Amino acid sequence: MQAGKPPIRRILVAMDASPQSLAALLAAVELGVKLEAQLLGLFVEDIELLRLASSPYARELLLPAAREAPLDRAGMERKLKAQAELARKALAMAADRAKVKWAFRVARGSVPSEVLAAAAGCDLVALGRRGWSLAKKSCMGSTALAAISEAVPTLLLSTRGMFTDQRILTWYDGTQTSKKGVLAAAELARIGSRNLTVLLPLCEEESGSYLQEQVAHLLKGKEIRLTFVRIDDSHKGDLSKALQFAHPTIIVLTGKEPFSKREDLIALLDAFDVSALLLGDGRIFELE
Amino acid sequence: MTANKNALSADILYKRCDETQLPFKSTDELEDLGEILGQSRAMEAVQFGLGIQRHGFNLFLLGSTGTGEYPAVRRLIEEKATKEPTPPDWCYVNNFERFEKPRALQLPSGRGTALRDDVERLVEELRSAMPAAFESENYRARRHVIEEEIKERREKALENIGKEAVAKNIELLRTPTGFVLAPVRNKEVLGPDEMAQLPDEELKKIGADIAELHKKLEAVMRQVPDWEHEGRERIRQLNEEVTVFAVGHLIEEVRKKYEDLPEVLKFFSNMQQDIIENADEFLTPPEHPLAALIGAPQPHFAKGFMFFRRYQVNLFVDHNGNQGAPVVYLDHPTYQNLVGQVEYLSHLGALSTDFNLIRPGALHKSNGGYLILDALKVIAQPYAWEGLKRALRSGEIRIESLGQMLSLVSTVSLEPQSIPLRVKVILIGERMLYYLLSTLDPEFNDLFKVGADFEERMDRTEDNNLLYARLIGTIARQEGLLPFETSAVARVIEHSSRLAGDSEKLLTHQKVVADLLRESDYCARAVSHHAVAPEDVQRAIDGQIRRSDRIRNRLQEAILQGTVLIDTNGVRIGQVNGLSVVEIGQFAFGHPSRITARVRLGKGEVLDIEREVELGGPIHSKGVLTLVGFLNSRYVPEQPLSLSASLVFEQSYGAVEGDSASCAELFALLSAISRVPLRQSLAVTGSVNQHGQVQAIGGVNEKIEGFFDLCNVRGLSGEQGVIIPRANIRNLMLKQRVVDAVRAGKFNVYAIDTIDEGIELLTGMPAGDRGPSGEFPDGSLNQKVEARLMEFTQKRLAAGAQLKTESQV
Repeated sequence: MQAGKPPIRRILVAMDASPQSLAALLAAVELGVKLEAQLLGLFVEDIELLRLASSPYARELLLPAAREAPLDRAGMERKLKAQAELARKALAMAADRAKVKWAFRVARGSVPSEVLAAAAGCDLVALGRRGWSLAKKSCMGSTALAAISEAVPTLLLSTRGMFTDQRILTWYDGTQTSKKGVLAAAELARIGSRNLTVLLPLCEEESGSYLQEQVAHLLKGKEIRLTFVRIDDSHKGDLSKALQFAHPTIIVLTGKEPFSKREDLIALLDAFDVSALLLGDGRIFELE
Repeated sequence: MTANKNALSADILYKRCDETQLPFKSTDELEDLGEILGQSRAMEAVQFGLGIQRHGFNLFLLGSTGTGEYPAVRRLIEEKATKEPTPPDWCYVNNFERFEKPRALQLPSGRGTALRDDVERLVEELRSAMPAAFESENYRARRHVIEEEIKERREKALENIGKEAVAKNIELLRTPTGFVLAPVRNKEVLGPDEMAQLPDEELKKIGADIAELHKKLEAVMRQVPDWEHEGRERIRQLNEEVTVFAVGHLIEEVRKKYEDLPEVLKFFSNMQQDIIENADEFLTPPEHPLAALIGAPQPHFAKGFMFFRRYQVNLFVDHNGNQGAPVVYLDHPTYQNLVGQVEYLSHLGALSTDFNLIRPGALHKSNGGYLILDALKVIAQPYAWEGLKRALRSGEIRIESLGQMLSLVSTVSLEPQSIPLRVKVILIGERMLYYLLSTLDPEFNDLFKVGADFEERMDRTEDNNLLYARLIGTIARQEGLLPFETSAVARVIEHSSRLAGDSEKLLTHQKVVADLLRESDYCARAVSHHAVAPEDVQRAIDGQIRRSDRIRNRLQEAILQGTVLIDTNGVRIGQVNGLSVVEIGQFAFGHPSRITARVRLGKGEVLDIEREVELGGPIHSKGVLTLVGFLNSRYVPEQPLSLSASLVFEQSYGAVEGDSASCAELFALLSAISRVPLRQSLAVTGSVNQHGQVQAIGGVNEKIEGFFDLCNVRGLSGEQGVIIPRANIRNLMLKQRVVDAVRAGKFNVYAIDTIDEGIELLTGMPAGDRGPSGEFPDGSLNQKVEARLMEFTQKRLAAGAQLKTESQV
C-alpha cells in the first residue's frame, strides 16, 4: 500500500434487492466516495431455489395475498433475472449519482459461497445483515454468518444505509488494534452527527481516565463529541447492557475485540439489530 | 351692406365678459370653490346614491369622462368613506376536510395580520417541538415495543411453521416473490431425479405434508396484514398521544387570543386534528436515493416543501392600519382583476395550486366601501361586466376562473368559499353608454338605480361668472399656478363660452379649463409675469390652435392655389358656397365647399349625388328630400313638379353628413331653376324645413371663421360675408379678427329666418310673396322659379299628349 492512498480500493456489495442489501449499497457508496474506491455489485442466483423449482411438489405462496401458484425452473430463472436487474439498477443509480466507479456481476450458486469467493478480490465486503432470510429479525442471515465465520478482512453488515445521523459506538482498550477501530469510527462519525460513543474496559479510575485522555488525544482536531462508557469486558452481559444504553445504530469493532471468541461476537450481533463495521486488519481509512 | 336688416353688428358677434362683474384684482383674493360647478342635480344624485344602503342602488355617473367631475366625486366619496367603519379583514385557510374548497375567515380589521403571523410562528415551533417529542427515548422505546411485538408475532409464526417443516424434512424458503416449501434430505433440496427414486407412499406423504404446511403458511400470511394494521393503529394512537402532548399547549396558547372568533377557533381545532393525522410529515426523513427504485413509499422531498403551506393563513384582504371604508379605483377592470383569481405554481412541468395562491380582486379590496370603475373599460373586457353583475346580484364574491365559468375546463381546481359582498359601485361613462345599457341590458336598471347626469354646460350669469372665477382660483392654487388677473379670468370665461358653443353658456368641462389654465400659466412664466394676464391666456389659446391646425392650413392652401375651386367674388348660376366643419381630435375648423345644382325637364326628382355614391349620410339625405318638399309645396302646387335636378358637393371626396347645407343646396337649386346668379362673396350655412324656415345648425363660429380666413387672405372687399340662421346668433363667439373686420365694414354676418331673406341677400332680387291673385310679383325671384317650373310642366304635358296621339295613330 502506497503512502497517502486509501487501503480500500474495491468494495464488494452483495445484492439480493432486499431492503437490507440496498441499505448496504448506500453505505458502501458513501464509503466509496470517502475512500475513492470502486464498487463491485454481485447478485447470486441461488442454486437452491432453482433446484426446488424443478421439484414436482414445488408450489409457491405469492405475497402479499398468500395466493398459491405453481412453480417451475424457467419461471424461477425469470424471477431471479428480474431481481438481478433491479439490483443492477439500484447500484447504477446510487453510484452514478455519487460519481463512484462501479461494476456489476451475476453469479449462480450457493449464495454464501459465491459471496465469499468474490470477497477474495476485494478489500471490503458490504452486505445486508439478513437479506431475504426468514430468521428472526435480530438474527443474521446465512451469508452474513458465513462472512463473519470465514473472517472476511473488512466487513460491513448493514441494517440501514448511509452514515449520516448514525449513532456510532466503538471499543477502546489501549491496544494498537482498538486504536485503529476508534480512528475508523471517528471518520464515520465525521460523515454524520460527529457523535461517538467509546466503550472502555472497567479498570481503576486512574487507568480509565488515562484511556479517555488517549482517545481524546487521538481524535484531537477532528471535532468529535465523545461519550465514554465503561464495561466489564469479562462479562458479556455488561456489553449487552451498554448497547441497550447507548442504543447505537452502528458498531465499529476491530478483529473480534473485545471478545476472546468469534462466537461471542456472533452472539452479540445476533442479539442486536444493529449495523456493524468489522475491521480485520484494523485499517479502513488512511490514518493521519 | 351693414345697413341690411339681416346684417349683425359687431357687438353681437362676441359676448364680452363684463369685468365690473368680477370684483377682485386677482384670483388670489377668492375663496376656494368647495362645490362642483354647475352640477347641483348630479351632485344631489351622487349624495343620494352614496347615502342609500339598499340592494341595487349603485351609481352611474353620466357625462364625458373628461368633464372633470370624477376627481371631485372621488374626493366626496373619500370624505364620506373616512367617516365610515373599517371593514373586516379576510383570510383564506385550508379546508382540512376538502382541500379543493378553502375556507374564508372573517376577522376584525387588523387582526388578519396577527392571525397570519401567529400561525406562522406556531408552525415553526411545531416543526421543532414535534421532532423533539418523537425523538425522545420514551417515544422510541414505546414504538419499538409495538413494532417488535408485531414483527415477532410474524416471525414466531413463520418460525413455528419452519420448525414443523424441518421435522417433516421440508424446508421453508423465501423466493423473490413469496415462499416455497420443498422436501430436503441432508439439508439439500431434493431435485426431480431424487424425487423420482422415492417410493410412492413417501411421495404421497411429502405431498400431504407440504399441502398441510401450505395451508398453515397461508393462514399466517393472511393474518399478517391484520397484525400490521393493528401495529399501525397502535402506532397511530401513540403518535396521537405524543402529538397532542407536543402541540396541544402550543395551539392552546394561540387559541386564547381568538376566543371571541368561533370560526378561527374551529380552524385551530381542525388544524390540530390534521397535525395529529400527519405527524409523520413533521418527522420527514431525508430523501432516500433509492426509494423510488425499491418501491418504498415516496419520501416527502417535494411534498415536504409544499406540505406546511397547508397550515398557512392567506391574508387575502388586509385593512391593517387603514382608517374608514376603502375607496378603490380599478383602472384595468379585467374579469380576474375584478373578482380575483387562483394562481398556479409550475413544478416539474405540472401546474398546481392551493389556497395560498388565491388572489383578491377589486371587489374584495373594496368590500365594505366603494369601487369606482370606467364603464366602457368594464364592458370592453371579456366577461368583466357579467362577473360584476353576478357579484352584485348575488351579494357575494365567488372566485371562478373563466375556464370554470364557461365550463371549458374540467380539471380539479379550487372552489374558494364565497365572501359576502357589500360594496357601492360607481360606474363612470358616456351618456350614450348609459342609455344603451339601460335599454339593452335588462339587469342594468336593477343594479344601477341611481344615475347622476352631469351637465357639460351651465348658464353664463353674473353669479356663475363669479363662481367660475373661484373655480379658476381654486385650480390655480391646487396646482401651484400663478394667480389670474381679473381680465385674464374674463378671457377664460369668454373662451369657455366659445368652447361651449354658446355665448350664454359656460363649459363645465373642468379638464379642458384646467388645461387652458396650465398652458396660460406656462405662457405667463415664459415672459416673467407674476400673474396670468389676458394676453397669456390668448397666447395659450393661439398655441392650442397652432399645434392643431396643420390640416386646416393645407386645405386653405389648396383653395388659394386653385386646386380646390372656391370663388369669393362675382356671381354664378346654380353655384353657392356652403360651409362644413371638420373635427380632427380636439380641434374643429370650418371651410367652404362649393355646392352646385343643375336642372332639366324631368319627373320631379332631385338627385343627391352624395347619396348616390354613398358619401352622404342619412341626415344629409333627409335635408335634400326636405327641400324637394319645399319646392313641391311652394311652386306650381297644382301641377306635377316636372324637373330633374342634381346636387353635388364639388371636390368633396369624403363622407358628408348633417343637414346644415340644405339651405345652401336650396339656394343653388333655386338659382339653377330661375337662372338667376348667386353672389359668390357670400357663404351659407343653415338647414331648412318644408316651409322655407331656416333652422339652427352646429359649429357656426368655426364655419364663419373658415370663410373669413379665406376671404381675409384673398383680401376683404366689404362684400363678403356669411349667412347664418338667426337662431344661431346666441352661439356666436367669434374670434377678435372677425369681429374687428365686421366692425370695420370689411366683412358681414347675416342672420336669416327664411329662405326668402337668404335668396334676396344672394341675388339682390326680392323673393316676392304671392299676391291676392295667387301669383308671385313680376321680377321677383319666386316668380322666375315658378315660371320656369311651369314651363317644364307644360313641356312635359305636351310631350305626354304627343306620345298619346302617336300611340292612337
